[in-house]
Parts: sequence; structure tokens; C-alpha cells
Amino acid sequence: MTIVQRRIGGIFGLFFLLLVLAGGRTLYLGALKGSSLRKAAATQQLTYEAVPAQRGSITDRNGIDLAVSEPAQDISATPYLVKEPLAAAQKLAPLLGKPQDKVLRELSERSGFVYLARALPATQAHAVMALKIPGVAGAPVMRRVYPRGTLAAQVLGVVGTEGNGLSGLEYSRNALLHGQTGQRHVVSDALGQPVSINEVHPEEPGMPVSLTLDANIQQRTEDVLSAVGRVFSPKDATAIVMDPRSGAILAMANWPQVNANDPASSSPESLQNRAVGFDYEPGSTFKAFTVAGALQRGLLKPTSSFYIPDKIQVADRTIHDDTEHGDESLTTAQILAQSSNVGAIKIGLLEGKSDFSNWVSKFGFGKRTGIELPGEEIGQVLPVSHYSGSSMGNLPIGQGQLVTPLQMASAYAAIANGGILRAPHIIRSVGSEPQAVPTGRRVISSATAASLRQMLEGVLAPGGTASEVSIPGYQLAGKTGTASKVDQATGEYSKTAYVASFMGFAPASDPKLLCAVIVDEPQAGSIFGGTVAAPAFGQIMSFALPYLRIAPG
Amino acid sequence: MTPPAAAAAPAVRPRRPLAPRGPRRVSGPVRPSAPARPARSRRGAGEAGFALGLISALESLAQHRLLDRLIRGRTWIGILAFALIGIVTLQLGLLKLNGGIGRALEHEALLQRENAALSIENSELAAGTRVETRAARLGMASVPSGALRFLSASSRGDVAKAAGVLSAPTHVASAEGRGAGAETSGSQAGGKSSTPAKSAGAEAGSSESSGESQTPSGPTSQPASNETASSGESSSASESSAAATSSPSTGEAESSSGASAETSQSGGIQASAPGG
Repeated sequence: MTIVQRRIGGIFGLFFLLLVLAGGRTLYLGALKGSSLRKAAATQQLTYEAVPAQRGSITDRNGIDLAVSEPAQDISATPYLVKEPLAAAQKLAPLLGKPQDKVLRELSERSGFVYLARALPATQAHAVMALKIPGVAGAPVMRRVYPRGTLAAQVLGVVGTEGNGLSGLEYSRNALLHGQTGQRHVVSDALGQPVSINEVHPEEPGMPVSLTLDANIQQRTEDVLSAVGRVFSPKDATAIVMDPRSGAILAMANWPQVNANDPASSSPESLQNRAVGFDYEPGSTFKAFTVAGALQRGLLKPTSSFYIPDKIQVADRTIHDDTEHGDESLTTAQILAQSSNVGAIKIGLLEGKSDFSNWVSKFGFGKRTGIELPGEEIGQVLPVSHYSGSSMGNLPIGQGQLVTPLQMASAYAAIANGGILRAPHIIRSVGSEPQAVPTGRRVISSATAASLRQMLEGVLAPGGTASEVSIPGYQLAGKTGTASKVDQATGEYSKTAYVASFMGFAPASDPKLLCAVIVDEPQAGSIFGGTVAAPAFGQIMSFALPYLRIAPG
Repeated sequence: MTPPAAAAAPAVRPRRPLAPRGPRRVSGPVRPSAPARPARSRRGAGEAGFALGLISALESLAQHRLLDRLIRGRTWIGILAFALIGIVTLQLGLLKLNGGIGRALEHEALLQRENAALSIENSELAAGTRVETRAARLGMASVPSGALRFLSASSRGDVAKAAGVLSAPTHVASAEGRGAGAETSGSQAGGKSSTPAKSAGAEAGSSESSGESQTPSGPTSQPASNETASSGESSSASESSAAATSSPSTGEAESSSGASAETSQSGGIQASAPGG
């Protein structure tokens, strides 16, 4: 055998030896240590990650974001794995925005799991994870942010820590907004870098929802209500601005305001959307419907004359007008303009209780309007079979029955738009699908509606109950209301607690905008709709009319 | 393979017949004889035929001479090395791809965060109160509702007039002063009425401004044509909405100064507004 052959054989032998060693190692790792290595790999390398779905955004009609989801993390700790809790607490506290002692207490708990922070914004969460504190982990979630804070907070609602809506639109449209959480199977290398990613279930983001609200009109309405709150210190107040032609809600404001980013700092009562959830006796604002029924039936005309004494007796009740006066003659228009209780009762009696009850039902009272908001009350309307002898001394002037602000606004919209009662709506589109405008149903003829509008102009004309309110260039129409509230202790009408309201629209001849303002228990010496609610209506409309480029009429 | 040529041999009478006992061994791998096809029923004949055909095709491929040549030669070493390198490369590529997917997912999360932050910022920047404050700092003011003038357009006459104004870009430089004056006075009619302190000036200025504010369009860079247009406007103003462009300038002055006086008294509207 030559030297070359020996060398070739030697090299072959060396490689063969290496191959045998490799084979042996493979056998050792695969057969003998296989199961333990597989278990270690499963815990260290294999993870099932939940992929949180991005909740759909909520925008106003102009695309301004009112509710946005941003990535965040739930930061948790396994306390018995945290070796130096004090040092860890010192580093974590400023990033978590919590006191150091609180973080230290949580890290010192005798438990296997504790939340240090829920839905921590992603930038802060990354800083926390970058500290690489053993035992501290982060789980991806989505965090709901309301960029405008208090704007339409009660309408939008809030989202809980689990990502589900708890109130408002977040609750009623949770199925649309929530989306579907996904799941990923991730295999990571020793450095933690993913080497294999499989989507077990793909994540589906929620649908974006566009509202009919206009953020600027909403803001101005809320500012006006805040001013009402400062001046009259009411229990609460609400205002609705809508397009009477379509029923689209342009603003729905509540006072006291709530910060949607921090709902816990507000009382539970202030979280309620009183535009749909507040039942109240409408008072004189209801007289328009008393007249509407009689007018539609042809029982009277705007110029029909009525003998109006200072008081009227209905069964065992004596009802007075707000101001003392002698016997006088008033037309139907004057009865509305001066808000005569006696006049309205006479018209109601002319209609008869059965007809009156029918008209109450026709205008949608006692039923939900159908708006896409939760918590809508139906009010309380007395069935005609339950009328007592004195009911017609109460009901035609808006007492003895409960309505919601939205029911009143919708019914006034029917007068404003020529007689069509249409369900109000607040959602404009979901995703790219516009929502159909409700068709509505006719309740009064367009002629009757026009006559009513003309009569309601008198409320804001000289001699009317809201004559102080005007917007230069615009013809306004509306009705004031000052309704006594029932004292819960005595069951009688209170002499100090009232609801002041105003329902109005403009331009009177061809209304394009309607506004309803309801102030619950105003103080500071003024209780009347004409002095409390009507000026607020004027301020809201004086902004909204030119803003929407609605020409005077 | 061809049998070797028979060597030349003396003629010898064969003892036995020359019929070969069987096929002589040939060089190369033993080729198994084709298996006898089992009898099959007519029912499964079609299905079995396809499978057997496939098997025989694979067998013939395995016995192909090109494959034989390949295996016997050294080319297979290169092919095997190429395949092994290819497998390793593919695995590395797959690892890189997964790593890329991981980075892409991280990038996606980053973009989600940025998008959300931008949406929030956009919403905050569009807040009406902020816009009003910034506008006030720049010297702008909201137009009070009373000072807003609406013009009604008729499809017949106004379209031609508007087209005429657009198509006459003359005397821009010389008339800039007048145009600026018209713009300023036009804005004064709205702006002054919103500022009570300036309402006195509004009365003096409005009668001057109202004539020029009759021009229908905002930009007044063509005042020469605007003058023509405004006279045309004056004559047609009686046809259009009286509230918007009433021809007597005093009417404009009265209404705008009236608005100014009213707003200076009440700060916006004639209402006993709460807190204002």
C-alpha cells in the first residue's frame, strides 16, 4: 500500500470516526434525552399568542375620531420569580404610573400571578419589558381612547378591561365593534426571535362606525349646557340637535359631563344618557300635540277663538293659567304663543279623551323611538281606559304623563318636517355601508304641520313666552315648557322642583334644524322654560345654523 | 449484451443439439422478468390497469439507461451535493422568512401604534375650541349669525355672470388696492359686528363696504369686472333674495350696523343668555 493510499485511508477513517461520533450524539440526544428536550422546547420555544382584535373606531359625520383603539399591554408579574422586588419596584413604578410602595406590595404578594397594570399604553409597556425583570410579563391587549375626553361621553359609552362595551354605543354595538381575537402559534429560537409563526385563527378587526353626530355642534351644545349648569345649578340637563327631515342626530349632550377616559371619577347618575333615559313630565311643550290633534281633525283653525277665563274646573281639579288675568278671548295661535293652560285644556276637551289618547300614541309617546342607543325609556302614557274624570285637566297641558327628551324631539320633528314621524338615528354608516334612513309614517298632514309651525313662531314673537330669544335673520319657532315635578315624599306636585324645557326649530318656514333643551330642577331663582332653556336653544342654534350653512328663512 | 464472439474452433460434430439450455447470463444487473399478470375480473380491470401501468412505468424509468449511466458515473456526486446544499439553503431561507415574518409583525404592531396615536392627535387638533383659539390669535373671529349673508343663485343669469367674471383676468395689479379694500371692507362687515369695541367703526365703514360687498364671489382680484358685475348685481339684486343682496346700500348698512349694535349690546344674540 502506497503512502498516498494510506493517507487517503487515514482521512477516510477520520471522517468515518466523526460520522460515528455525530451519529452517536444524535442517538443520545434523540433517543435518551429526547423527551426532556421536547418538554423544554415546548415551554421555552412554543407559545400560543393571542392576537387582540383592534376594536372598530367611532367617528363623527366628518370623520373625526371620537373613539380609537391603540395597542397596549397588560403587565403582570409572578411574585415568587421576582428576586429583588424592591429594586424592581423602583424601576417599574414610574413607568406604571403608580406609587412605588403599591408596586412593592404587589410584587411581594404570596401568589403566582398579579396584575401590575391593565392596558398600559404600548410605549410604556415596551419600556417595562425592556427592563427584562424576571417574572414580569406582558400580554398584548387593545386600549380604548377617547381623544375628545368629555365629548359625547354618555352617547359613546365605555369599554371594560376585557374589551367589551359596558354602556352607550360601545355596548349596543359591541358585536360590530369588537372584532375577533386571533391566535398564533410561535416557535422561537434561543434568542427569543420567532423562527416559525403559524396563524391558528386570524385576527379580525372590528368594524368602524360613523355617527351622524357633528363634533363641533356637539362641543358647542355641551359648552352651552355647561354654562346653563354654572348659572342655574340644575340637577342635570340634556340637549338634542337633530335634522328634522331625516331624524339624524347632530348632537346629543348631557350635563354634568363625564370624561370617557376616566368614567370612574364620575357618579353613576352622570354616566346615564338622559336624552333617552330620562322620563319627565313635558309640561307646556306638549300643548303643540294637543292642538295638532284638534287641528288635524278639523275641530279648530289657528284663528279659532276661545273664551279663556283665568281658571278652569275639570272634575275635582281647578287649573289656573300661569299668570293671573281676567276673562279674555284668545285664538288657537295665541293659546300656544302665551301657553295658556286653560286654552289647552279647552282644546283637549274639544277633542275628547279617546281622540286625545289616539293622538298621543300617534306621535310616538309611550313607545321607544328605535334609536340605536341602549337604555331608552318608553315613558309612561296613561291608557284611555285609565283616565279619571280630571285626567283631561292634566294631560293636555303635559302633566300626568312621562316622556323622554328624544320622544319629544322626534314628535316636534314631525311638525317641523311636514307631518312624518321618523325614528331618530345616530349611526350613519358601519364600515363602508351607509345605514338606511328610516322611512317614517305620516301622523299629520303637511297643511296641519305648516299651520302649527306658523303658530309656534308666535312663541318667539313679541308677547310669546320666549320672545327674548332671537337670531338675526332667522325665523324661529318653538315651545317653552315649565313642568312641575312630583315630590317623591308626598306624591304631590312640588312647588320648588320643575323641569324647564324648550323645543324649537329653524327656519320656521322650512325647518332644517331642530333643538331640544331640557333642564332638570334649575335653581338660582329661575324655573321657566322661557328664561332657562330657550336662551340655551338660541345659543346652540345661533352657532349651528350658520355653521351648517343654513340660509335664513 | 451481445454474447462474446465464439472463438474459432475446429469443426466438431456436436454430441447434442445446439439448442441453448436457457438464456445465457449477461453482464449487468439481473433484470427480473416481467411478473405474470394475474387474472382479474372485468370489474376491477380498469382500476388495476392504471396502477399497474404506473408501476411498470416507474420500473422502466428505474431501468432506464440514462439513469444507469448517471449512477455508474461521477455526476451523481455533484447532483447529491447540490441537493444537500439546496436543502440547507432552503431551510436557512425558511428560517430567514420566518424571522422576516416576525419582524413584519413587529412592524405591523408599530404601525398600529403610530396610526392610533395619529388618529388621536388628529382628533385633538380638530377640536373646535382649539381652532377658535388659534384663529383668534391670528386675528380672526367667528362671523356672528346676523352678519352672515346668503346669496341665492338662479340657474339662468348667475351662471353666465360667474363665467364672465372668471374669464376676465385684467387689471390685476392696478386694481389690487381696490380689491383689497373690497375684501377688507367685506370682512369688516362681518368681523366688526362681532367685536363690540369696533361696532362704532362698523357703522361708518359699512355703508362704504356694503356696495362692494354686493359682489357675489369672495376673491376680488378682478375688481374692474367686479364693478361691472356689481352694477349688474344691483340691477338683478331685486330679483334675488332681498335679505342677501338688496340693491340699496343703505339697506345693507342699516342691517349690518343694526346687527353690530345688537351684537354689541348682547354679545351675540338677542337673548337673556345664561352667563352671557
